[in-house]
Amino acid sequence: MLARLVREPLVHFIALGALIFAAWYWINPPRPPVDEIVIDQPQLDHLKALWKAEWKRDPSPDDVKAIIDRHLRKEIFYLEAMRMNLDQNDEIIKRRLAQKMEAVAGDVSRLMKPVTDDELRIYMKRRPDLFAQPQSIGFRQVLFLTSERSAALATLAALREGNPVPEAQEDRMGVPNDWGVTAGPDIANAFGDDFAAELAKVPVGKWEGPIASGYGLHLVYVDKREDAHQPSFESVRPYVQREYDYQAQRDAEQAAYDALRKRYTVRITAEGVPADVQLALASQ
Amino acid sequence: MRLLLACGASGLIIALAAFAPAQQAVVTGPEHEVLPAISDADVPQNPLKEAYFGETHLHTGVSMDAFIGGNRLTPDDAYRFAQGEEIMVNGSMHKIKRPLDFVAVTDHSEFMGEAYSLMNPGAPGYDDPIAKSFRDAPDLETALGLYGKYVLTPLAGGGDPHPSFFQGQSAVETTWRRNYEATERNYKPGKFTTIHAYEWTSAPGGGNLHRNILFRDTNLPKVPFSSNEGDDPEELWAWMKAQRDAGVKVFAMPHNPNESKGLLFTEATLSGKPITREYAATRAAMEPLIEMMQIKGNSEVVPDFWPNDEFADFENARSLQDYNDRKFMKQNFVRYGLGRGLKYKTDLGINPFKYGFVGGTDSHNGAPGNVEEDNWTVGSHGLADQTAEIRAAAILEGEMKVSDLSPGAITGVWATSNTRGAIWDSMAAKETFATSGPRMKVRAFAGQGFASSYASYADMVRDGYAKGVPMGGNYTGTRAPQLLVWAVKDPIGPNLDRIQIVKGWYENGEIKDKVYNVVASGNRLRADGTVEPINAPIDLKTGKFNTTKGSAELMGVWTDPDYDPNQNAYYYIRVLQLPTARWNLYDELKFGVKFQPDVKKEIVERAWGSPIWHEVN
Repeated sequence: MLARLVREPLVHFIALGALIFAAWYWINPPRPPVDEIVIDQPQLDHLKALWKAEWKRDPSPDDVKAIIDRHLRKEIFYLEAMRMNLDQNDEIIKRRLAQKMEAVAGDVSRLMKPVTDDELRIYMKRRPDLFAQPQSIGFRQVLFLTSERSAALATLAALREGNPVPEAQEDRMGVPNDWGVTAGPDIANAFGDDFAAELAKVPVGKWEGPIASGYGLHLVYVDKREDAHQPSFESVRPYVQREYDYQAQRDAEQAAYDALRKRYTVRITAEGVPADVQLALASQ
Repeated sequence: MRLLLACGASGLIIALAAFAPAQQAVVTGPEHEVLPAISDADVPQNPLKEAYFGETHLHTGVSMDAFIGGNRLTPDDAYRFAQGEEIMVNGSMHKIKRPLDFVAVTDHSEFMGEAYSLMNPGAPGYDDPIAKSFRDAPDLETALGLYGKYVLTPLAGGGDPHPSFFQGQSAVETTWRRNYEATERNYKPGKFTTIHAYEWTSAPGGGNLHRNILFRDTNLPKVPFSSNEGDDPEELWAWMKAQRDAGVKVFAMPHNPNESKGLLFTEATLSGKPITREYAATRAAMEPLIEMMQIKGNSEVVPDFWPNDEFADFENARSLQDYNDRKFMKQNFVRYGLGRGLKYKTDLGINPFKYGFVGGTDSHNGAPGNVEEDNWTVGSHGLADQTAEIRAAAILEGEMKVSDLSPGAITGVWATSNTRGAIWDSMAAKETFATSGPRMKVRAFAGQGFASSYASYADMVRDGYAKGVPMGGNYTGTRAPQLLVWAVKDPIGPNLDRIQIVKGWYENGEIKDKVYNVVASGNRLRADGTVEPINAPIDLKTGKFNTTKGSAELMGVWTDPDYDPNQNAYYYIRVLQLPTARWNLYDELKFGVKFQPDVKKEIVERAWGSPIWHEVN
């Protein structure tokens, strides 16, 4: 009987199953059915403080319940996800952490060398293009439709005799007559490039035209022309600082990467990467 | 103690600022560092107002999705781009032909914040030993070690004393603060206005309920409210109300009704309750404006539901329907929303959808106002539409065909000066218009006693304000309203074709609307109200538009022929310019690619002026 039982495949099966089961429990002891999440006083105070920052008042008991519910929901899904290693090889998590590291490295890198005035002066000399003031023109304009050329010419003659701008031409089409000293690029923005180029050639102190724009025909009187020039450091120091900081931030990010990159060698074992790329990576 | 240490580190930036010799006076933002004083009061005011053009919807690398898409540009970069600077955008150096007058960078508030950085408020001085240790660090490795020691270790410590702040929240504060600083740094009153803003990004079930949130000044919340804190617009408004009660000046603007699955111009609250008078009042108070058009299409109308509007077929982004089950439905379009608002007004006494218009791009490339059809060479969404080859064939994943994208729209604001206060106030008052890209200017006034022509432009505008209300206002007369309408062309664009008025009203339980042709160039307006077509096609070989036809300026006065004092109604103007080439034609001409034959090569760009309402009270 016993011998027969020992030979019975079903008994083998049960015994083996029990053994595997025992081994499994030995290797992975069952975790307690309930884990504990503690919300202590500082934690709750923190959650309430965040809520108060949003809502500008103290949370009611109902609000506190909602705050805790939301916290728990996030925390439990988070803990379970970590337990299942869902954070591994997640592209968004990788990018997120890379973004954080980049921000930290950039910040830290920038903190290391505050700029001096002398450095700002050197920077300004090195980048005259950033600080040059463009040619500026102070002018008046009187606008006619493209089809009103003869009226424009008649008005030109009247203006030259000292007559005022005709009422119908006052801020015609909503375009002001009087333009105080205006930078060349701003003139081009308002009237188009062709008009700006023509206006730059008009002599000072005389009604001229008509010159064309997308609006129509303009009679123009140039009051004043200021040539392009390089301003003094003192007059634009805050602007130089801003430009410098902007550039320094970009440089700092690259410098941070370069510094960290030095900690790594890269070895490509995969196929299909061109030899020159491999070489370039190895030499960095 | 930990707070003290972290503050020590955070004081460094302030120490840096202090290192620069102080200039003029300083102003202090809420819990933010000192900045050079800038005064709006110095900027001259124009009581007749000027139209300023700007971007009201833009993402930089601060937006998580834009960052993942490869955008590394900062708000600083975006503001520079807006001012005409050439910037590396989506892999190429790029610039717009004309700078913008103003920009609101609207990064997503969800997942804003990359790291707890050193730039938090609370500042010991330059001589602080920790600050000094950073300055003296010989290399980055040493400096990172100091960061770990002084910032991360105290933060991660837990136990007792508990960290007084957590990384997540502090990181949001840090990033919000950085956007704040960039926005302050780039503000040039009278010349270039930057507006503090962000985007609240709620899309329950794929229905787009996003809102851009714009602030008037530097009185700002410590952190923006995101859909992580609440994805119901009512929660957003409750938060905005709390902010307003604390003195913060803020409004919200929905966008992409065309993707809203009927949830925007809704019959019930998101939580399923009936729309009440209180809901309508709150919504109307919080949301003065809606985005008419952007990269993902024009939301005014589609021919499917407005077959009688002969210009409805314009940047409809029809392939939106192929994704997320965002089938076209009448309830997803602005003109429906305006009409549904009239019905609510009749039923509840308050119109919850009393929206003026703005236009934006929603560019995730950090490139504000990049709306020029003949200059749209770098796309809008990272790799998805980066080159002409890709654009000719690709799908914007999960959204639509790339060939259905538009470069986007811009906002025009009639304001007394190019300053934050003036621009925001005019937006809050809805004295705005949207254009599909060109910088035409449009105005409308509703009142009584306008002249059919004026001695000068200034006379016309003065009369408009004296005898009527501007766009965004309420007509309160008892006789049929006269509408004084005016438009001038973009100086580098084609001439104008016509001005139309779209009237909507609520009558016997039905929402109705009608498009009236009001003024047309060259006496083409017929007695029956139709307009002789202008026949000014583009040159398909060069993309050039016709330069001889149309008018540079259009002006007229229209009286509502069907006015009923007992009907709630709205009136908005639509201005059409002569046809121009669509961006894909330039792609074909410049890069030799081929788009599908059904992709339009020619479009009629346009402007939409914010409505004027007639309300029965």
